[in-house]
Amino acid sequence: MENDDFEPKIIGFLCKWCGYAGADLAGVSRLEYPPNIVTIQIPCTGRLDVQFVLEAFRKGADGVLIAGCHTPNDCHYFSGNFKALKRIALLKKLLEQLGINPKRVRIEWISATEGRKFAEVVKEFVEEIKRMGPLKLR
Amino acid sequence: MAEEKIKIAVCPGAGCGGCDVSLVNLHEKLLELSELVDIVYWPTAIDQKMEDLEKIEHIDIVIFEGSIRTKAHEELLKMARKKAKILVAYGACACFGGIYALGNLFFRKELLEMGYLLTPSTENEQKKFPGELVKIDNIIIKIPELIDWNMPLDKLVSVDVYAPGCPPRDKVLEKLVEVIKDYIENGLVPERGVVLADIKTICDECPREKPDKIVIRRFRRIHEGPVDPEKCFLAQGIICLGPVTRSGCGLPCIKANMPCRGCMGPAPAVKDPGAKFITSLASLIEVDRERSLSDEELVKRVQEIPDPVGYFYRFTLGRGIIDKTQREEGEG
Amino acid sequence: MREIKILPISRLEGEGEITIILDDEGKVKEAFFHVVEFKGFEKFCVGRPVEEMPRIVTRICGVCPWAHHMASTKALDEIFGREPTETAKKIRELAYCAHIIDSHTVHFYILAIPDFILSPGAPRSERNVIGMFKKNPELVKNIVKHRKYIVKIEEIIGGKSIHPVCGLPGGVSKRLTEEERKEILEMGKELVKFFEEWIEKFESLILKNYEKLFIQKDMYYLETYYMGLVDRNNKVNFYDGDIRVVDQKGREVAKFRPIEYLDYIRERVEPWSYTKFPYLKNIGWKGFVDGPESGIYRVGPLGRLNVADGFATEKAQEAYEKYIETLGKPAHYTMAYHWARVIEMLYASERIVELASDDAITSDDIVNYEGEFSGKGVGVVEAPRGILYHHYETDSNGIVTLVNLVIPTTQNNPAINMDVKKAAQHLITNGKVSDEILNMVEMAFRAYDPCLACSTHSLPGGIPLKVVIKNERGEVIKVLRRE
Repeated sequence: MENDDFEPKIIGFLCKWCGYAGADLAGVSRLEYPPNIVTIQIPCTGRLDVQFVLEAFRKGADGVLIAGCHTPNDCHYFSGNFKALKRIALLKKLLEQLGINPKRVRIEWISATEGRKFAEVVKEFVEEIKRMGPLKLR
Repeated sequence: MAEEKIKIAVCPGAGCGGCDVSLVNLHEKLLELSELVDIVYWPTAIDQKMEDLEKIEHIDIVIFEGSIRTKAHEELLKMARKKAKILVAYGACACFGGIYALGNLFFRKELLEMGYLLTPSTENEQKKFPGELVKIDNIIIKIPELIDWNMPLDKLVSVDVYAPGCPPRDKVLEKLVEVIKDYIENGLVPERGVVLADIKTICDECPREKPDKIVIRRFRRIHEGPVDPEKCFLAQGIICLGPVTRSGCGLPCIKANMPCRGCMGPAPAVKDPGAKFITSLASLIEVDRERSLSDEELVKRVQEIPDPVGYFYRFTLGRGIIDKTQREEGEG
Repeated sequence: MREIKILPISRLEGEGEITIILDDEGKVKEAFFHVVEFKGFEKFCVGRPVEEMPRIVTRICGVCPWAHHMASTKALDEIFGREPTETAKKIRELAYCAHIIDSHTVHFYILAIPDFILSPGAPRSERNVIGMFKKNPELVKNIVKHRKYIVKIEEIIGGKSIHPVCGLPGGVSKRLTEEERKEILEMGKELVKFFEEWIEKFESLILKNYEKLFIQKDMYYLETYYMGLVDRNNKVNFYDGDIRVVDQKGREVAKFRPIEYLDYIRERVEPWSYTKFPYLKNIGWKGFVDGPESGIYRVGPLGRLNVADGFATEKAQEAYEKYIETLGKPAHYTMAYHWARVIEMLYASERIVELASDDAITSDDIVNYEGEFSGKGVGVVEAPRGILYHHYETDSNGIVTLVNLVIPTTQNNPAINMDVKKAAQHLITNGKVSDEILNMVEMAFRAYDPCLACSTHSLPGGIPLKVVIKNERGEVIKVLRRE
């Protein structure tokens, strides 16, 4: 569904130690990226409960981005990122069954020094969601 | 002067009749209650008709079984809510949508097409479908229309008491009888929204041996091989919804060596039991070897689990944050 | 013309209504038995792992969940190519006989006999099990006492009596211990005694007072075909066997195995009921008429007792011989369903004692895990209400791709409609109705012990409707519209 006026709403769950710090760096470095993303800091992506993602969709998000520390060794709490990875994998399967494009959820490893990567990922993601169109939940 | 007995009505939504039988299986307790109350409506067991129900202004307790699937159910529920002092959502269907909520994965038309056209024993050359108007002279016959989606009661009205389970049993029934007796003897009205079950989860009550750390190496389906009757199901790689499910049923499935499928609904503080279970279950997969497997391999292991919605939301899709298909009609 | 509505119909499982249409002379022109509920199992089970089906399909009906559980489990045996162990077969049949009694007792004692122990014209608010309890508390208490035994047996084997869980392809999930076997045996013996008494009570309390109602041809009488499951000796067996069809004179016209069912059965659709209308494919649908030219057939207790040569247990066989002596064979009297039900409860009790007397039933060899996966299975059992077919197909991963269910009450649906109309026509002649007359019209369906949740596992549509039919490649082959 093409809609040039459609501005996706993206919710980003970013871990304090890596993802959020990376986003901060992007900001401090004045790197441009679309303003569509609202960021939520969580202590670790391992804190991410799948209910948060569904709730974000229910509340109007068209896409959800999760950014955490690189596997295998960067997680500040040791293995939180692995939990997030596995949960999102299973969630994607559920979303498919529910008729929601699983690509509306994206999980990335973005370290504190990867400001550029953060900006790139957000840009890419917003474009992808634009192409998908808004998620109008029944 | 003898005091008038309180009035109880048992009203049916879209159900299977199991909730009715669960009341019958109160055995002598039901006979006892029948002497203390006036059962004014219960089509399964007594002959009072809709016209009789409509005439009654106030009903003390309405036990509503089944979910809402047709316009007729909607109207009955609204009428029941108006007349009832205490409205009980009785059974998993009334509380959470029940197993019929899985019908929400499809559109009405798809369900219709399968049942009345495409099944191999159906012969329907004239493409007739139930629900169409039939006219005989001036008489119009039309059976109740389906609404778009199957719903638990609280999507439409406020519910006073939840009696979960498919069907309710054990502690749930004990508590319901207590509620009725307290009301008869002391006029006590239960706290609004109370759930007549335990605050614990199935895991808390489960007699099986639970290891300190549950590791799921490979996911196993229940028919694949022998199931150890002493060990935690999850520890054997078998999906069991114990961690997110409310206790109070007496754990009959687990005692019969079959895993919990969550018919008692979400434990307190769990909003969406299917989503919560994904959060819990995914953590356990290869949890002691996360570093030795690549991201792709981990994802692959997790995605070996077939049918997440059927396993994790078997009885509770009506409580899902997403409770129906989001496909476009005609797609997929 | 005017219409009389019975809304809802009562003392049965499920949601239904009756419409009676009277012409200007007050005579009954038409009558309809509407089933107004629907679920959609044949669609929403697609995508589920097939070994989960026994626990899903019990929710087709909570009054006969074991029937669906067992038919489903047998379909799984075929899908996984696993012959169940001898022990598993015994455990399954034992539990299943307990269930026949469970379902029959709910119907017979709670739903049906208030019409006879009280009367068809007793005041509406009293004409029920509670009214019966007030009139004869000891009678009802004794019934409750024996129902408790049944529920206990089901729970021991299946975990729950309502919505059991024990069915696995090739076996059952739990073995029987020696204490459990002994407990079941004792309860079984009590049940035999109880139903022996009820064979007599049926005659003295019910048949004696209602003989003219039961044995007459103006109403509650249809000459249909009959279908039922029979064992190798053509005796009634609820758990397993071949399917046999007899005609109006009792002659065998077909015998087939479950997998062949599609060669024999078709189902029609009417817009005024969510339940379909099955008929024998080879005879064809000739409308709502009985007789040898019409493919309408009946199932359930009446059907089984017409189709089989007898019962494999002694006391039930004796009761059966008396039944046939009184009614003839085949018995076409619809009210005979009630009598047949009591005989079946006696048979099931005797069978429980037989199976529980065999201490080999406590063996721990309860599942056969070996077999060649076939991906297709048709499981058939005699549900309390009649023969039940569960047909599943799966993909190579064992995920369900097709479900077809042919349900007992559905198979009785054409006959129920005819019986309701006939009763209405006979009882309402000058436009006058009374509560008693309407109840007697309801008694025409009540004898069948219909289970409406079972009969409509499917869904209705709204109007207007557009139906797009695609083949397995996803190409559109037909588009149908109804405005």
